[in-house]
Amino acid sequence: VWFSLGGYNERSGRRALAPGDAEALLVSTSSEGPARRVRRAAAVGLADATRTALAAAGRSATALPGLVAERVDPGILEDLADGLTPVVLVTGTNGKTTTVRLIARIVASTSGRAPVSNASGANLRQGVITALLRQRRAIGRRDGRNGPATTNDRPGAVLEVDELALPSVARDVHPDVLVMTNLFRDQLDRYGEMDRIVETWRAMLRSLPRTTRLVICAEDARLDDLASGSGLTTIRFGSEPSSADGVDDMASMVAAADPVSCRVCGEPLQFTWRTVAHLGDFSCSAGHVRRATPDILAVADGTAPRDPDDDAASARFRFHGGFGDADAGVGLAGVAGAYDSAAAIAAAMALGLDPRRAIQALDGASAAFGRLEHAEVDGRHVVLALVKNPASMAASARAALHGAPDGVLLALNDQPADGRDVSWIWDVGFDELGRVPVVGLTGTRADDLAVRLKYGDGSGVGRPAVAGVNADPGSALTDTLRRVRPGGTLVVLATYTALLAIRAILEHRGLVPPIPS
Amino acid sequence: VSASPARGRRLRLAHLFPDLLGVYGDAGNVRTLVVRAEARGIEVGVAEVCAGARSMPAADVFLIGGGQDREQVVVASELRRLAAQLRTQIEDGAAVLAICAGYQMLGRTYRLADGSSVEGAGLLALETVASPDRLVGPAVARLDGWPDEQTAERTVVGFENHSGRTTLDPSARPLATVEIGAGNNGTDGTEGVLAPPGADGMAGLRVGTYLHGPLLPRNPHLADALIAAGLARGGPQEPLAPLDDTAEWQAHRHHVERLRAAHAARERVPARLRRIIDPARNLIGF
Repeated sequence: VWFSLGGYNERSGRRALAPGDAEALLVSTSSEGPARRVRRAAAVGLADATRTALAAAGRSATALPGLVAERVDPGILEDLADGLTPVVLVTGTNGKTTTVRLIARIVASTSGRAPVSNASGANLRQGVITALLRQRRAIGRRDGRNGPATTNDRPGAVLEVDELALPSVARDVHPDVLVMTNLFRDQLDRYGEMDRIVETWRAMLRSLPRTTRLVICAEDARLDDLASGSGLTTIRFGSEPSSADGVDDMASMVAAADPVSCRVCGEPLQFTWRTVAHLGDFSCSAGHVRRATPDILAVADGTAPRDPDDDAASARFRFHGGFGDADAGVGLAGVAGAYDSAAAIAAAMALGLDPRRAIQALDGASAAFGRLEHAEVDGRHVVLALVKNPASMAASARAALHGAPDGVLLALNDQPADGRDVSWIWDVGFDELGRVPVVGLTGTRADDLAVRLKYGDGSGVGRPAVAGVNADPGSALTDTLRRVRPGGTLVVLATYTALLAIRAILEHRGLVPPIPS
Repeated sequence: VSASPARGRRLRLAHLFPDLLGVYGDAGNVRTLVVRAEARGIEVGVAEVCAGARSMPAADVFLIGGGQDREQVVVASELRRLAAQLRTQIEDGAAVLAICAGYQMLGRTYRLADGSSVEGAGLLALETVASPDRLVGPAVARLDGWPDEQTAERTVVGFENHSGRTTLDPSARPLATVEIGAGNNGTDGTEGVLAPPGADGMAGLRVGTYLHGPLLPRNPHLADALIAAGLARGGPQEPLAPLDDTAEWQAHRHHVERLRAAHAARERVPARLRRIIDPARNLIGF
């Protein structure tokens, strides 16, 4: 039943099948006994062979081994997760990869052992299985056997899970903590309506063991609604705007809010302030719902001026909670960095860890690949930021613009992994970006970006003509960099496949590390 | 007699329920009309009509966008409440652009899966039935009987994402014929609805469509037709001055070419093989 909740079968429309359908094909009842053990061994063996073959072909093996393994042994995910403690799942529209990275850092620091995680961001069911298989192999090698770890040697797992894959994964891995970062409008062509995800999650939360702890963003009214109805113990994190990370000075970069209405009366919610899109201090005018006080609050203490010799942009965040105050320097910028840090500390609190120790562990953390990641290219600073939807675009652009960059390269692709519908670019402000001295446009939909910049937001005159429309990401990067002064900064805001293409060029030149598997 | 034909020209836009609809970038349609009208020296005012509005403001062009099912039910009840005021203005020659949910809700009824019906505003001659399948993807269509002689362009591009299947009354005219995509219902090849202007010029132009994208930035011919229609309420007008639309038509034509090429490549693969290839392509993300 869970497999159909992804909904691909129901709304396949013109295409016959879609990503999640592979899951549906894999459902079968699990058998017990020796036959089961043979199946398990065959599954692991085939997954290993697949990994080896992919490696030989120079491809990354982040999903296919898991797909193969589950095809052979449908019960493999539940078995693999059984030996792990604690298990933390992270889902939501934005911030999954960074939040997983931060929680893994905290767990590693407090337990002395790195948890298994899917750092590459392969977050569908098969990606989760692949990550767990890899961990199992590592344990097997160290223990000199190929069996599961002994009880006193159980590592933890911190895994990011796609919004639609969550119900089936949560059912099998029995998470101790489930983190929901936020729920923005995202890739409507793939996910369908947001209400659909909300209802799917609502049903899933009811089926989780009552001991599961939930971590949510206090400023997301949809998540608040879900948590309230779930009956699960919930830790809330939040991030009030501060003057240093002002909302007012870049009001146009706050993405258009997705309409959020009161669950009781259906009226649109009111906000005293918003950080990004619909996240903010919400309430219903009739008093049915309002934002609860967060258990942990992160406030940006201002972004430190970037040291040219330092690879990471560092921000100081001040955290408030029942434990008092503490702060940490984290290589994450802006409101997204504040939320991701707060989410990680909330997850630590949900695991029963001391929040002060968690904050200490965060100090010095750096960004995940393509999340305001820094590189030096041809004597210029390059900041790479993944943008997926209006909310992540607004948050990344605001953070990047704080550094007053000399150039910006916007890269918009419309492959399935980017979202085939690019209409969201009209739900976020572009005037601030259009004012950056050098603007380059690339990607399969660079033409649409040119029109978007031309029409502007109404806060000023749009740019009538943008130089540097170039569909090829590699030559666009070279052209735009050349127009930026030596020693200057170029911000690259790119959708998923465009970011991977640009990053591959930099990786080939040895300027950024390989993406972790 | 005014010294300049532009002087005193005013265009009043009403954007209906941006607080309830508008997850599909349809605000870009409003922005496009504002910029293109102002570029011709036309003074533009935009009224946002939110849920609970006491009355429908006087306007020359009404725009309503797409949204989710839940908000759509609220929109339907708001539209019914204000339908009489909207009808009066439409009969008086106001133009309308209705997209997706807004398009459905201006029709007579939206029949849900459980057999119950949501009553629409009844301003467009069409009915919609919910379906468990969603029709999602980029679309190209050819305009039928387009009244504006200012442009030779006859394609329209957009992105559709809807579960409703809309059927026009036999008396109603479709906006376009589907070339790539699903259109109104995925079966009869029609896309949208077009209520052509009356004998007195462009006044009364009503366009309903499933096409997001948003529609108007990449279809400047439609944008200008709506501006002309809005202005025509004030009496016969000079044709709109042409603008430099190089970027808009570049985006339009490039997209049409890409979609036609992809469509042709897809059509060459037998349907049975596509059922295997498509999920595999999706799995690896290309």
